[in-house]
Amino acid sequence: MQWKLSEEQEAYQKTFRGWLADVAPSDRVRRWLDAGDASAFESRFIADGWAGVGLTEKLGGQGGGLVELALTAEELARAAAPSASWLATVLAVTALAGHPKLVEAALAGETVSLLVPAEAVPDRAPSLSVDAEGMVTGTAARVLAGDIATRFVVPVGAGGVRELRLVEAAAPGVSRTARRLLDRSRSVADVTLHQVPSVRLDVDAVDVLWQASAMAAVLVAADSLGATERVLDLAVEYSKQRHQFGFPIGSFQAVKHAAAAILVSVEAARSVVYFAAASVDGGAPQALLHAAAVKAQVTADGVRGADSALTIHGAIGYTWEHDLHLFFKRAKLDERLFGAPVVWNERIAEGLALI
Amino acid sequence: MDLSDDPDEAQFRHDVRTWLHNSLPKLPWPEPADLGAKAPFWRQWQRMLFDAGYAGLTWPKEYGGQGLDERMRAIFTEECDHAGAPERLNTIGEDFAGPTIAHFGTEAQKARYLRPILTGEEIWCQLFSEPDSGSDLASLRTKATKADGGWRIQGQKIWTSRAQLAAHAILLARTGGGERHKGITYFLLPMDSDGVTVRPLAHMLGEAEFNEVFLDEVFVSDDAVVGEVDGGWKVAMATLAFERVAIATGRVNTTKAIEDIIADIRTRKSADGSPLGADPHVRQKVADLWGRALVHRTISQRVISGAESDELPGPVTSIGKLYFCPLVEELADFRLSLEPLGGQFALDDERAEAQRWLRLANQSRGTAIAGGSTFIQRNIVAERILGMPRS
Ligand SMILES: Cc1cc2nc3c(=O)[nH]c(=O)nc-3n(C[C@H](O)[C@H](O)[C@H](O)COP(=O)(O)OP(=O)(O)OC[C@H]3O[C@@H](n4cnc5c(N)ncnc54)[C@H](O)[C@@H]3O)c2cc1C
Repeated sequence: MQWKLSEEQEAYQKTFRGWLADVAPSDRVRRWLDAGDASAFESRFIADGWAGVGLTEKLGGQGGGLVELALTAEELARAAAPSASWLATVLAVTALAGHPKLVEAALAGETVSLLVPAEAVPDRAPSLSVDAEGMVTGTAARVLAGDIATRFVVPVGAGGVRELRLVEAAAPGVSRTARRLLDRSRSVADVTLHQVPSVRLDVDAVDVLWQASAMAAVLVAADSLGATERVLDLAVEYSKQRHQFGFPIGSFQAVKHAAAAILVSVEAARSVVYFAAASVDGGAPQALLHAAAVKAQVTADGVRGADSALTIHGAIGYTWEHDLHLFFKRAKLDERLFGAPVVWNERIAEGLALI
Repeated sequence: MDLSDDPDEAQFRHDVRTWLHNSLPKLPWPEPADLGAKAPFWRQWQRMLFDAGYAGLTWPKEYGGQGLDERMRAIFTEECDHAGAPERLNTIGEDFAGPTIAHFGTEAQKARYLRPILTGEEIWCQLFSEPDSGSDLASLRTKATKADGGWRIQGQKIWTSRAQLAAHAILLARTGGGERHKGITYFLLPMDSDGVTVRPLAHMLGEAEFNEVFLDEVFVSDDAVVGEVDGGWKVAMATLAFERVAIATGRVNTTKAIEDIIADIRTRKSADGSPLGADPHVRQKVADLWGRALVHRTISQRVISGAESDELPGPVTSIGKLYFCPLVEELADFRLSLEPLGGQFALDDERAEAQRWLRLANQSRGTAIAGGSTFIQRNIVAERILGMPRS
């Protein structure tokens, strides 16, 4: 066993980071966030060919797997770049296997999203109901990218008879209300379906939802890692510039220790996020537990790191003008997105057969 | 240790409770959330307090106060919290500028400034911090130059909470008597003076609660000095100690906060339909926070009982602040964690239900920085209480 990114993966990370620095510097990101419209970024992201990275060629992607997706998530977070559309699509798109046109459309910007509440672990989220004519009815609150999705993959039924159905967001009977998140780089909407026509997707629903859950855990943890890297960079950089009592604040032991503790979290996260990504991709027996541990540990550390970086900044970090809050809010949302640490820890406890 | 109210205290508590019960409904509820809209609401309330004899409980009678001791004030605050009284908007006036003026001010200053704080007519702000002087307050550079009959002030202040509402400020400026804390003078400044410019700064949630304040050749007269010229540091330290007393004892009633959380939990269910209060994780967390709120209450009582009225609060107030800030953060964070997505919705999201806790979660992080950050408080405790060597 070897813990190391491949040369291609390292090259990808570097290129994508460079691209983000170029296309999404923080002043531009702020403009998109202020306008509440990420489409300029999203279309550029697609036009420059990033949307298919990490999705198999069989599915219609460019190859690679969850490690590449994790790298993407991490870098997007480091830039506080809008990512609801991307994340929703990579989690839902495997349900479209067998519909190459729809996959192609999804990767070309027609966002597809699982119709589950963004705080839920997808495979434990409540289902909607479907009648004999395939009309779907029900509500899912706070659906990731629910405001911008073109299509929804809707879990219906229960237990062994669960299935996934595809719904057009523009169909009659679909109503959605966008919610306003503190972290404006992601979006959710409350979505209600009333007698909406749907098509059955010919995939194993249980398997797709399991996969989406494991991927969500890893990718949100990778996002939290990216956000934590940035709060640490900002804090360290600031601690060298800012002087009090005649010294850079970074020379005070309390400040150093706080920064060092964040670095421990960052490196811990980096170690385990890619590991879990490879574990899920490789179908390791404990893959879901690995994903669960990553989600619980990394996102919890992420909020602690963000708080600590705020402490290091003092009042300047508490302002809207400073960029810190972009990453602070990102880390806060990551902790809760697709299952809070307590939920994922419970999942681990289940898997460990304690009773 | 006497834990029960004595007869006077019990009577006072009863009177306060009755009065609150009859008076609160007279306000034009709901209390506005926005700072600007909140001011008139709060003013009406403060005037009611004043007229009923509940403003300035511990302040001297001759300046509009009630001359009662700190225990009565604690009882009053407790009852206000329980009854859901409006947020206090003039904490800087009531909790730090007022006591400082009462302690160090001239007779004329006391006569002029104290009463309008109590009636709610005049809100105060604190012009201490500067862009380059936060934790290291003694390095401040705003300069006051002697002029005919007074001083001309030049400089910039920052992070000034509620300056946009304030009639007056407590201000520190350098008057030249020496390096660092030796050459600082404490002034009282009318905020409508020529040359004062206030520029709002939004905090992380997007609301402008603090400000930058630019001072360009601002004139204040000689009678605006509190204490001695060049002797302002001592006065400023007293103000900061009063600030910490207020933060440690009363800014947020943690007992009330945990009680509110418990009441919410009683009405809620887990995803599987069982009562939320049956969830072992929730039970542990509530129990832990309840215990810590109890500890906080006893720390406050100790600070209050120990406060001899003419003695300045000591470094023990740092301990109160260090205990209090993380507790309030955790209370607010835990309550938010019961909301979908942890209640991470913008203040203008119409379907969000826990905005009060979101504000508190945010404010508590600000409070941990303001009035001497956590690291600075720990330095104070280590050096001044434990006598450890200075670094
Ligand atoms: C919400 C809010 C409201 C405020 N309201 C007011 C107000 O009304 N009026 C006013 O005058 N000011 C106000 N302030 C300013 C407040 O007093 C300062 O923010 C505080 O003193 C810290 O200063 P700073 O922000 O410049 O941080 P800095 O002093 O730059 O500190 C940055 C970091 O370095 C650390 N540090 C600094 N020195 C040391 C040391 N010697 N040892 C170890 N660590 C150290 C700090 O702990 C902090 O983590 C407010 C601040 C906030 C956040």
